[in-house]
Amino acid sequence: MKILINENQLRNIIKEAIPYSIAKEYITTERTDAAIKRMDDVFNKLKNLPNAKVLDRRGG
Amino acid sequence: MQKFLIGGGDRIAFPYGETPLEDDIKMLLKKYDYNVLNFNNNDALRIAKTEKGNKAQPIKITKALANISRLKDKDGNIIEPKAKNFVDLFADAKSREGKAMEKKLGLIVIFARHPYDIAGMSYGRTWRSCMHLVDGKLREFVKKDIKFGTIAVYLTNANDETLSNPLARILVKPYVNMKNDQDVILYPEAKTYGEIDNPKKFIDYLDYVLEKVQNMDGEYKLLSCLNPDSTRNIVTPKNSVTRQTILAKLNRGTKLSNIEINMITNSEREEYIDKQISIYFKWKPNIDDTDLEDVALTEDELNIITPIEKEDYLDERIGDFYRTVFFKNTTNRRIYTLHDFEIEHMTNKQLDVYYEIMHEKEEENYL
Repeated sequence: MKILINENQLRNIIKEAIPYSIAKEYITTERTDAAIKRMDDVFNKLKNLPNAKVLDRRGG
Repeated sequence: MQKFLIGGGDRIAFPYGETPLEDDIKMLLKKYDYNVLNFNNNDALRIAKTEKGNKAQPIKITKALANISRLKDKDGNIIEPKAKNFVDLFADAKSREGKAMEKKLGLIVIFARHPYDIAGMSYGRTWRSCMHLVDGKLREFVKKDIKFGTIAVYLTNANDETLSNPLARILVKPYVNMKNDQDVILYPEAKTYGEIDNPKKFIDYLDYVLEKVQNMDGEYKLLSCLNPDSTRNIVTPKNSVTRQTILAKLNRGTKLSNIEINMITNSEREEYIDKQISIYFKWKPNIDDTDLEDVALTEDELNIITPIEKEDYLDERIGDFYRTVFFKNTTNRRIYTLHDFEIEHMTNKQLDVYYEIMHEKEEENYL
């Protein structure tokens, strides 16, 4: 029996994660001080909104 | 497999569609004597003061919001511009079958700032973009997004907090105040990736939340070193005076400048274009002393309408030109010069006549 699936369905099955060799290039990118401060400000305010849930998970 | 630690605070989730929005809608309705009866069922009461006391009349929340969104002051400016946004956010979430499905499944929005989440904006997802880490044509911008503090916001199922299979995402990027470059805010691009029923609702939701947590004052321009994802290069707060002025112009059918067009939402832009086209076609048979350039569409506007509408418009516009020329003794219309994009639409025969007429006009002016 042959089953035909489209590209999106195939991607859902494979669920490729970013390979470490590629990801390390990006996760070591330094942020500017201003960018860090700006994101901290926004995220601190988001945390205080009703129904906000801070997630503490490992991605991989 | 290598794991990357995503610490507390790098991701914040919210139930999609169940936000401070409910409180804000209740407050706005209360201000205009409406009481919310059942938010999820779209039920409210209108409180009317009569001689015999208060009288409560059932009304739909969306209807009440629509009523409020149309209120104008004596200068014709809309008093509560946010009411229209509330109508869109509320109505889409509550009334359509697709939305009922979203609610049933339970969707969440995750604000993510870890570099891993930014790098993964188009990698291993059900969508692809030019920012794909391996073959995206603009992937070099991904590092700039990380460096300057772009946030990725994902829409996903409630049981997918690890973002294994998100449904859609939007980038929230730094925008710089055009009068004070020290004032930088984070604001969503008007572009979603992933297949969802109502991308506009997702964008409006993020506009709403980001405006709620930041103080905006004036106009902001997308940080120039980042790759623009949409036409949203300039943003203003939705309740700003500037924006109210633009919306008032939109309601009156007045032409907007390109900068102003960039400040309105996608749905407002569609409304604007529809109105401008309607004004153009309604105007023609009735008035003969208006300057055609006041009602003609611009090239930017033409690029937004469908090819068929564009064809119709250009045919009408060129036809108008010839009617103006050949009946110039019986009308007050000024013979006008066509734009390059209109001239390109002409046949060779029309072109010959056009240049002949323009040549005669030049000679008349000279004499």
